Amino acid sequence: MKNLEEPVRVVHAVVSKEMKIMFRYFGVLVMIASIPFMFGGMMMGIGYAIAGPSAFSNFTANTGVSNPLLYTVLGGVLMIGSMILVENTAGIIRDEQMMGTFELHYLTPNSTLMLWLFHSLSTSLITLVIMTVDVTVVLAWQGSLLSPVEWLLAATITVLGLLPLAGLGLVVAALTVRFKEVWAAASVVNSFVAMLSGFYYPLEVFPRVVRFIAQFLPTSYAAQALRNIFSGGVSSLQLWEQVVAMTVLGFAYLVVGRAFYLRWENEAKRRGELSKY
Amino acid sequence: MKDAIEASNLAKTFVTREGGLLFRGKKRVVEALKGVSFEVRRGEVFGLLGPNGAGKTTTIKILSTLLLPDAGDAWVNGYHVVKEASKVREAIGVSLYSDRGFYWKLSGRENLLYFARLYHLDEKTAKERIKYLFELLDLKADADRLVEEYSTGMKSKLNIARALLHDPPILFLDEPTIGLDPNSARKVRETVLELKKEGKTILLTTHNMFEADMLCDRVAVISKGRIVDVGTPSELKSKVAEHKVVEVTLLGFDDKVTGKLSGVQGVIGVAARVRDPVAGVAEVKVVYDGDSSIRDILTLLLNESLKVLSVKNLEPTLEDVFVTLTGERLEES
Repeated sequence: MKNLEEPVRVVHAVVSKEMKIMFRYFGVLVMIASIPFMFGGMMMGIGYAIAGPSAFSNFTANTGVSNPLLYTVLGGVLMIGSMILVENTAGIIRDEQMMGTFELHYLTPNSTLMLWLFHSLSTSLITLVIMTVDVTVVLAWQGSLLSPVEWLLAATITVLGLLPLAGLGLVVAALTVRFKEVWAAASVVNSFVAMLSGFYYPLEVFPRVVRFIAQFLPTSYAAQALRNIFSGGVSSLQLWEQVVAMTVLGFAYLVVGRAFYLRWENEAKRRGELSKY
Repeated sequence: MKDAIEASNLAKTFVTREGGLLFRGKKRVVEALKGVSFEVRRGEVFGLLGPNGAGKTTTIKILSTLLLPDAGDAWVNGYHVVKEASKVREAIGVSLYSDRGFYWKLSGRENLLYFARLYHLDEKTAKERIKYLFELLDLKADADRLVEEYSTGMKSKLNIARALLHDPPILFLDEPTIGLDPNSARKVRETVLELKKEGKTILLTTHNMFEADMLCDRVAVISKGRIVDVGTPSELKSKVAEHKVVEVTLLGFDDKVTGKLSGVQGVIGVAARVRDPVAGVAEVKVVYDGDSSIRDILTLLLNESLKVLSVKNLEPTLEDVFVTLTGERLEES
């Protein structure tokens, strides 16, 4: 890419294509936007069924959060966003192979790895749209709205927390494409990410070993940081630490994903597997 | 380098294993290319003529940098396909499928715009180019319909339009008319001739002898991973002009018959196409020389206890060149 205009055109191409396709399956978009409410409602219902009227005060005492609905909806947005991102990135080779578009990207003057990462960026942006809609609904119902600064911070944290998962998706893609079990492998990865990120509960309730593992997931920092932003209970130093941790992890995830993908790509070009599906 | 494309001793072997992750099945080795060499001159339409499995698509994929050769070298527009792959990609447009290669939930125009942006075309140039290509390929009226509503012929034309987006000097078309209705196939052939007038170099693969004869300045006959002959269609046909061709329809055919026919004095090539495997009905094409050969051919068939359903004398065609050179029939696939 010779100048800045060329990568901008490529990002424009990928993002506008992905957005158009996503908005043409509008029902799916509505379903995805409603999932955080469904899980949030379930969590609150289970809590109420177990602890009775004191459930909410117990929740506040254990988490320091006075707004359980916002807490669970934010967790739900991150969970569904991370699931879609891992699944889309892991499945991108096979999906595009089945459409016959995979090889065509190799004929364009771009790094294919960057092209797939731009696809993951599109998924992150769609998650932002969902977060904006869902959080606005919760806040508006409770009589307040997001300020532009809060939204910008939340958007940055969401993208920083989710985008590194593309690296994880690329690892799954590279390892599983030959065996055509991409979605099963992606679902296993998603289960662990969902369980260990503290989307619906504070990680402090888990044993030390689980908290140790969670340190290596960018989504666990994103979940914590987003809640802190919306509850107003975060110092700029804490936020800065979380952003640095996410950035470092993001870099590491993407480096590992890149290594696995390039190895697969080289083998696929030798074996004639770029177009096999 | 004066030639647009040069392939020298290209070889490719595919090794596959049947079975899953835990139980790896039998190893299968397929020698797709066994030292393929040819040159394509600038501005010419060059055809790779051969049946399925002959190595046509493998050749195109190596030349378009999608596949690494095991041995040999190739240059496209003067650039080496392995060492200077990005330079090669800038110079080529590739149409690999007739009915795939698109996002079904996008319109034809949106699909082309997506790929135009990936080729770094600015918005104005991209839109003008897409408009021109829709007109060239007779797709203007359907430009804004979703690709999921397109017919196979429309998708094939859209594939060619996509390959032409960045106006490359060299075009690779892999079986551009396969599965198309006669009208769409005619339009695709007209477009190929139009592009030739524009000065583009075109390498197309086909197993349709009529197409090769009509479109190609020169044709390479490829069979089982080897180029068996190269020449203009008339040069190739002149090789069988003195020969005679007979097509015999037989009942009770088995594979041994072709071998026995090949041994008859004066027989140059034999190829069979099984029409009805259950009943054993097959059409056997025999290219031969000399007046006495036909008597020996028919005597052999009658002695084999076969029922001869019909015997037709035919004018030699490009397919007969293929039969003579390879002992295969193009339409077998």
